[in-house]
Amino acid sequence: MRILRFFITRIFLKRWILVLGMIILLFLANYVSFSTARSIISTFQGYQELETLNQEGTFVANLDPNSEADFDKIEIDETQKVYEYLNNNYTYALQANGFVTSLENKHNMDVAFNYINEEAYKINQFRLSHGNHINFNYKFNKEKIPILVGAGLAKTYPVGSNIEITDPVTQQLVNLNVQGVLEENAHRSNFYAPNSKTYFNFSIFIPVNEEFINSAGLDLHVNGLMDIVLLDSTKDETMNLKEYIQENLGLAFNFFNQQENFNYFENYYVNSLKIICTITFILLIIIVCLATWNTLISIRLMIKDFTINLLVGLSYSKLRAIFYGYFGILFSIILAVLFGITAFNRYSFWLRKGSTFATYGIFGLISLDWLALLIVLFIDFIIGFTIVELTIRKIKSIPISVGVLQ
Amino acid sequence: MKYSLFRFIDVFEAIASYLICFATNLIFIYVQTLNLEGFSILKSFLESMIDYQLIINIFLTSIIIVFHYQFLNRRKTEIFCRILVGDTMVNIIIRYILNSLAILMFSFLLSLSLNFYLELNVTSNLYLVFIFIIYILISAGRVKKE
Repeated sequence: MRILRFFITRIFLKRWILVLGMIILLFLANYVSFSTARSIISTFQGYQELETLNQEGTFVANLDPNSEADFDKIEIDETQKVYEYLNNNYTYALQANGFVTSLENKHNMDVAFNYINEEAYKINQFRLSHGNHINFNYKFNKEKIPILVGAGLAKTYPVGSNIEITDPVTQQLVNLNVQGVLEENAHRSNFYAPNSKTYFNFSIFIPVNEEFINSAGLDLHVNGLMDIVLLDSTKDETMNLKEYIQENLGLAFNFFNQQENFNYFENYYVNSLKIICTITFILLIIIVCLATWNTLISIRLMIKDFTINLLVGLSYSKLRAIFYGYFGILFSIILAVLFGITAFNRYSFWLRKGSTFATYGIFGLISLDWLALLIVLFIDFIIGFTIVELTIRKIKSIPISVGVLQ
Repeated sequence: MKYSLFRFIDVFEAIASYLICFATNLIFIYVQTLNLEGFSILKSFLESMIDYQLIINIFLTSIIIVFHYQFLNRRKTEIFCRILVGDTMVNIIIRYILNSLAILMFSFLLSLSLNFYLELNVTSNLYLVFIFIIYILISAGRVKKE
């Protein structure tokens, strides 16, 4: 330990510019691998969530990106007709997220109201930390509406408490009763961007039944249609619905079945991840080459010190241990900085009151970040091993006499 | 490059370092001109780097600092010998600045070919040139004999 301190303070830090250059290069390498690891893990998580939809008879609606949609022309009685048609002929999962309302809470966050029907609720399989699951058989306007609240609202609105509020989609005063609290960081990945997630820590889930849909406004109707999922259906049935929607609302929808979705996702994910991995690999190679160049330069300048120490009894294996120790310290500093930046990023969502991104975690980091840091640590081991072994080989190739002469 | 402190290998190292910095900056700018609608995974990955584009570029210029630092350290004995045979410190410093600037300009002109290939504005790398000139001037103060 003493010899490591001696080498760091008397030899390496004497040329601190080289150490700083090294830290910067290694930091870039770590940042690139961290971003990649996070992208891949997040995409993979999203993919796993969406796999529940890759089932026979499941069709996901998608507004045709090539069509022109005129939402101003849509009237409420037309959307009501579409929902009536849906209720009579199909089993469908409906979930409309992100109707932001101001509701008093401990963290002063805006609260998002999410509307979910029974089928969508079954698909999502939310886990609760307290309370019970919600039921969908309540009578709208006559009974209290059972709801789930996000973990961030649990203290202000514990299980059993009531909330009286003007509902953003029905514009009516409703009485909500908290039935359960979602687990921390409950989230849902976007259908078509599986790496982006919406967190439900400051959300309220409101069960939607036919009665509720009939009372709701145009916003919920149109929003709900955008991501609607037909269950136990056939291609012919979806074509009927597609025509019906086109006829009544003038919106062109596509309904993709399991195989089409699977092919699309497979192509999309695999290609995107391949490109990301290739970019990262190339960047890492370049950065490691630069870091090696930096180390070789350091050896050129420090060879005198190394050889003098080798002459007075330092063995190559000890020198190797010193280098591993030195790089271990460098990587620890860099990982600590990376950790700090990530924690600050997560915390900044709380500061900015970004309720759909605010997350709970140890030191502000969620499991995704920890896993990515672990992968970075593994990559650091490989980089460290490569550089140290190259360095030792270089030092060994310089005869001691040449070093002393310098 | 008569009486220059730079050997071929040093010129090569310097040009390579400058080109890495210039190319990184240009690639960042080029990626932003690409239309990545519909490639959200790729887009958000690239954005995680583009957001810190300036910091990454400036971080990368540290390799130029490292280059100048190690170069001048290794040339201390040579400078001492040159002064012994009648050269002056002022002349050595002026030659060092001029040679460094020449290498920088050559690298910048080389990087322009990438500018033209990617159809980017020729002024995109100028701020880096400015930073590098400052580095050269600062390092000129560190030209010392042993």
